Amino acid sequence: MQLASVALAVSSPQEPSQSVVLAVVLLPFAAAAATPVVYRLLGERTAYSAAGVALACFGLVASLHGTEGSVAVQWIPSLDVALRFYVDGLALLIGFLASGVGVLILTYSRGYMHGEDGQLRYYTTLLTFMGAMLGVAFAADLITLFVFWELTSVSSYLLIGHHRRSASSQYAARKAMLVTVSGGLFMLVGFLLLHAVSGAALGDPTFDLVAMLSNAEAMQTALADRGLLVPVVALLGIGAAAKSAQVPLHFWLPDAMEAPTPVSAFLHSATMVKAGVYLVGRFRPMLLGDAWTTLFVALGLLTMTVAAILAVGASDIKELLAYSTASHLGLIVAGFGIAEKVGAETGAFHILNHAAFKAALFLVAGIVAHEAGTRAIDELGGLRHDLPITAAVTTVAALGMAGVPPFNGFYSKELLFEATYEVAAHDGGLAWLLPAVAVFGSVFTFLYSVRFLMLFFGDRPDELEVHTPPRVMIVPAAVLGLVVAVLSVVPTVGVDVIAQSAFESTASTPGEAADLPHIHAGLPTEASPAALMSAATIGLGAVAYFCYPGYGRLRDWVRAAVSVDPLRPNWWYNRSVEGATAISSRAAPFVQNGLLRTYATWALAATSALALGGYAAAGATLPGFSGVELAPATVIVLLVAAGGAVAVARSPSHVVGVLTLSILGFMIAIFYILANAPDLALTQLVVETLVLVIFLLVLDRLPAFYGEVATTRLLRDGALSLVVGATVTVTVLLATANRSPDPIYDYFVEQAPLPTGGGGHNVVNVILVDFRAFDTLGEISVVGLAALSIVTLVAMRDRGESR
Amino acid sequence: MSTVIARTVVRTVVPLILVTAIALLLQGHNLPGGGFIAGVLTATAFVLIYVIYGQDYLEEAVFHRTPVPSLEMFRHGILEYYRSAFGLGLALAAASGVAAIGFGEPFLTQTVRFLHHVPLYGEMELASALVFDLGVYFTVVGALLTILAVVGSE
Amino acid sequence: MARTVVVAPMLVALGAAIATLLTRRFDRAKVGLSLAGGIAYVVAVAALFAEVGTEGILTYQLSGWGAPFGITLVADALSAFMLALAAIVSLPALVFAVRYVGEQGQQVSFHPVFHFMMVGVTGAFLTGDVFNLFVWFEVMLMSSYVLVVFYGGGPHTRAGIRYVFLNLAGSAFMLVAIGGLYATVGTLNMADIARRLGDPVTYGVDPAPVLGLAAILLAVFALKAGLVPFQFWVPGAYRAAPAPVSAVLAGVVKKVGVYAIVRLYFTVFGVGTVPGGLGLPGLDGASFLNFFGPVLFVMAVASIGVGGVVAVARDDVDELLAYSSISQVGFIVLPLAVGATVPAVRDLAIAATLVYSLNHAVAKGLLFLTSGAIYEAVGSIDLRDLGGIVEESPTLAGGFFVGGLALVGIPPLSGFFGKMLVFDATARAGADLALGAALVGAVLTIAYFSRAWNRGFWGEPSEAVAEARPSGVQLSVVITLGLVVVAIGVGFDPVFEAASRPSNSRR
Repeated sequence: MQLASVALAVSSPQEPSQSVVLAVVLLPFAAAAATPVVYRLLGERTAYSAAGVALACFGLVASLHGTEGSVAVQWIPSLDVALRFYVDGLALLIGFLASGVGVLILTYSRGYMHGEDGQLRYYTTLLTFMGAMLGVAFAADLITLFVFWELTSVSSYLLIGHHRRSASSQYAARKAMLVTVSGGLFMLVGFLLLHAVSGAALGDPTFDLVAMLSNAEAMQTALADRGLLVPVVALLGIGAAAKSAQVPLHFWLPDAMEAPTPVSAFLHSATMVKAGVYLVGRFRPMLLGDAWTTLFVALGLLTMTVAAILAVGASDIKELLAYSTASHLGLIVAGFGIAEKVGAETGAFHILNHAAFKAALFLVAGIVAHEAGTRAIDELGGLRHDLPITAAVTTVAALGMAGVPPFNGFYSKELLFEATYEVAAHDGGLAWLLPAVAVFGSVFTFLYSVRFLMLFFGDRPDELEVHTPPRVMIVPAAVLGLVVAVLSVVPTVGVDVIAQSAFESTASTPGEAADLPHIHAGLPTEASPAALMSAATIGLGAVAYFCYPGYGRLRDWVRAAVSVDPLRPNWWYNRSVEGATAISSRAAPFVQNGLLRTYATWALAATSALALGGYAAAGATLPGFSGVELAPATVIVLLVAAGGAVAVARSPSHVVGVLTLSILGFMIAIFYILANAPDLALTQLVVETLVLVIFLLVLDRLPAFYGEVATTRLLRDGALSLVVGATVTVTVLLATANRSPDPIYDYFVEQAPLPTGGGGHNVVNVILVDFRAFDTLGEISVVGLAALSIVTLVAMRDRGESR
Repeated sequence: MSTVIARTVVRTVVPLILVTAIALLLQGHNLPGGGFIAGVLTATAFVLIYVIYGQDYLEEAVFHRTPVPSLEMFRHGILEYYRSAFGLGLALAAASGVAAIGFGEPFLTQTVRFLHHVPLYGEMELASALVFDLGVYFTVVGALLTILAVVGSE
Repeated sequence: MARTVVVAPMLVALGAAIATLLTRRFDRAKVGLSLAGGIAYVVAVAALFAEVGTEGILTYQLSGWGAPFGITLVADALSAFMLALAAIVSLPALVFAVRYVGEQGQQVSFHPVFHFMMVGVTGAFLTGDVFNLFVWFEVMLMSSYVLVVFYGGGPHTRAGIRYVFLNLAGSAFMLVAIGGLYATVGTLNMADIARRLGDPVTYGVDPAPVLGLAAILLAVFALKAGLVPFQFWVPGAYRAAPAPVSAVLAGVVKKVGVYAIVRLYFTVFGVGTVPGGLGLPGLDGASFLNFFGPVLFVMAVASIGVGGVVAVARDDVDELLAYSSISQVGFIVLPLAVGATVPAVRDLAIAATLVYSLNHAVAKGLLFLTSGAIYEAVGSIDLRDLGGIVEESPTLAGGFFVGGLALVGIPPLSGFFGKMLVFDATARAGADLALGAALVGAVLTIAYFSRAWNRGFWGEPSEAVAEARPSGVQLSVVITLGLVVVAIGVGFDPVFEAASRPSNSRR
């Protein structure tokens, strides 16, 4: 499969340099490792050095622009896992976002985090995250991809929990981790299935993503043949949905806004949440089909609409932006879901547009929160007087978000309208829902975008006091505003630089991009269906906002709907977590009730069940009873022994019990004598005596009375005893009835006496000290340990408090 | 609790038991016996002394000196002897096995030599297994007496 | 030719036990001997591991008697892997204990008993004889019993009684089963049992009773491994034992049960078949493994569920870790269940079990030691008394974080590859139920880890935490094991090679 990727590289412009690709990914990790030292030297100015690292990465990514192909470094050859990286349009797009937005965010952090605690870990984690995100962008090995994927989740956990003393941060961090890491595990299963199937499709099983993509058809056929296509699509879908906050897994994203705002801008809008849609785009050429379309179009449009509606209900500017992010990610997912090429165009182009305007808006939100001291929408207004540059940035970005021409979001949304219309026109029937839902959702997008913009217009509430933001916060926002403006005025720049090649990566298998159309990005020149849909969106939105029903009333409706608990996935999340905790609390005393009786019951019953089950499964049959063939003396001894056993169970006191127990012991000794085993008899006798003495020494320390036992419990215990007894009896009967004809002990009896006729006549002893001396060595260790245990018990008994 | 009769019996019986124990240990390779039984039997002899005379007697009259207990919670320094006994027993058993490695044989390999024309005995068997068995013996004696001493002084 | 290297780990551990037993007073000599023994053990195991790597299976006939009459030690890739696991965990635990267990405890019996426990573990991993396996189980049981009740007092003694009772019952069953095996198969040597069981007609063996006897043994091994419904001793024992002992109990001693299942069921009893096919409804096939597969499956899934669910709301960190161990052993055994039923994934399944075992050993060892260091420094390991540890002792917090993430399966830590291989084996076998159980278990792991982290390590530092002064030696042990957890993941290639060698040589 290496050959395939090499061949591919020939047809494409240029091979990427291995060292550059590795440097892009590893540089941030190295910088993160060095951060403790850097921080000691630079203090808060670590922000600039970190931004410098991001800039270097951006430069390296830029130097890869125009190249295509894969590089690989060995990692785990025995599993065929390698650090494989692949450079193409989609990877570069995400790479540009991760490093480019990174530069701005890290610079911005200098102002935002000024005077805050924990800057060292803040910058370390952010750099780690950036490395992981670049890794996700370029990884071309499923395992490598997963490694970086989970690293982004973990760094997200730490960053959301940055204010670690705050309970809400902890709650939010845990929620994000539960959702994204669990989703990742589902994705991992999907990857493993792909790996397993790749063996059939490609000859050898591989984790090499490029090899799979290059043989997309074979892979898809092989998956379908095994009935795994739908499961794989679903598993990858779960992973992507969890990461990209798709409904119903979107509920962690608003809480994630507990993180410092630069983190929200970076991870939870521009980059990390893009990992999910990136995954969808990446696998699109391989898995596109009915299942794919159904799942992702439904998921995307649902998320786009629901999240937009929820954004309207938001009361906090970051909450609004969070829902908006989920909504736009839904748009991208829906685009990638649509089989028509224009669907892929939508997804690829909107990734770029969304990252630009949303990152800008988050930085704006950060400035507002930082300088106005509040994030509550109702308390804000008229900010343009105090924050003129910010207001300008917001205008450009918010209108882009709204999809108003000629701002950047318009172009990619237009593509979505076109795509949904094409599907509807082609399929008819229910497919007409797609354009309808797209327009419906977009209306809400328009609504909340305008609301956000209105923070800067209208009257300023009297109690609002706004400071001037530091330049270090304004500049990054302005840069992003400028990017949005450029993308708005000359959208073809965005297409030509990156979006077109990203589209090609998601619409075709590697190296087959030749016949793909060029993304159309521009103002409509005729009344196409898409243009009409855009017009309808803006018209409806304007009416709803300014005339009827009005934003305030709409917002109240949304809040009323959301107050119905079962409609909120977050309610379900809380119930599940609380429920699990409650079940756990209740299960503990049930599972572990502290009663030895219970434990013994389970253990003994399970052992008996296993044994009897084994005999039954193997069809073992008990030997028929062939009469007693024992000497009368033996019979008497055994009867006395049995009598002793019964007496033990019925003994009224410990002394009687111990004495009757010794009857049993002595009878066994006599039995050994009768069975020609003098060694065993001797041992049994002496041991029995000693045990008796030890027992009597401790007897008066034992409680005489253990309490009443309920009859049912007695019956249950009695039944269990019978079962255990039966198990042992059956075992002994079966074992003795099926003796091996060729046991090794014959050899012992032959070999024990020395050939020279001198010694070793006592075969028992020879077994103990020679044949199996190793056993004896272990047994005397046990004897020694028994003594040590008594010493320890007594010597340490008062040390219970001090562990 | 100990009557004169009991004391007298013990005085007579204990040496007999000890001799029997040693006999069992030495003849174990060929006749019933062995280190384990001998050890347990030896321990019972001590038990008799304990029960009839008490622990202090053993310490003072038999061993004639009292080592200082290394653990302050144990009254009887004699415990030190017992613990040494099973430690040494284990060491002896293990060392006899390691010795075989010294001769290029696998761990715990046993061998036997016959000495002829030994005065009184005539032919005498020297089994390396006896060393191992001696280790077993000391371990068992030491461990059992430790248990008895600790439990008994409670 | 006798290779002493095979028996060397055994001799080293035994030597250390006896030497520390004979030096009675607590002084530098005793600690020095003990630590030297611990280091020598690692060296001996490393030597054996290397030798097995180049030479393949090594056998050693104790007392010079040939198999099957004498006792055979077998050092193959499986034993070597398990021994390496034991060595990696035991030495850090021992070093930690020197600074953790009180002076009197070290003087009384800690060192010899600890080394005797390693003797038992080593013997169990090396022996090729079922009765000898029983003997080393007993040594392990007696020594671990001493260590569980090490700190006297009510709760410890109670936990100890439960521990010893259940394990003695297990021993009794084990003895019955081994006696039965000896009678029906006529031999104790594992290879010989396999040979006779594989050709029952020639050797006159009736396989029917053997299946039931093997089932009894499985119960005993499940008890050692702490699988549901034999898990009852686990929480009490792990809480009661000193932290470094819990680390070894959870990390190593538990794995002896797992090892015995792999060894006996996949190489010895696995060859057995029931001539007429299994005669219980719901069971297909004729191989013994077709019987044990579903049994292991039920136990594994129940363990994952019970352990995971109960762990979620635990406030005592040691208790949390104990329930987590029950759950994690479920993960370890799950691939075996699948591998027993689906021969096609058997090799992968065994590798998965071994990798997961190694991960659990180091990660849980790390977590128990971290918990011990926290206890020592703070005076409590109850989450309600903790909080803000990350601010007061980032190292301890880091240890817990790394260990916890390894349990969750975050790459590139050791735990990731364990999870991945478990998923891989179950997915390839098409065992959807097993896969679903593993996913649910993984989510539960995230739930209990994140809860413990949020409560104990984030948040406002409690008074006790604010005054904490962790010991330097303990911290360095925590750091070392943390690095091992990372190293196993980052340098996974040789680990996987070693873990897949047993399956390769099985053929």
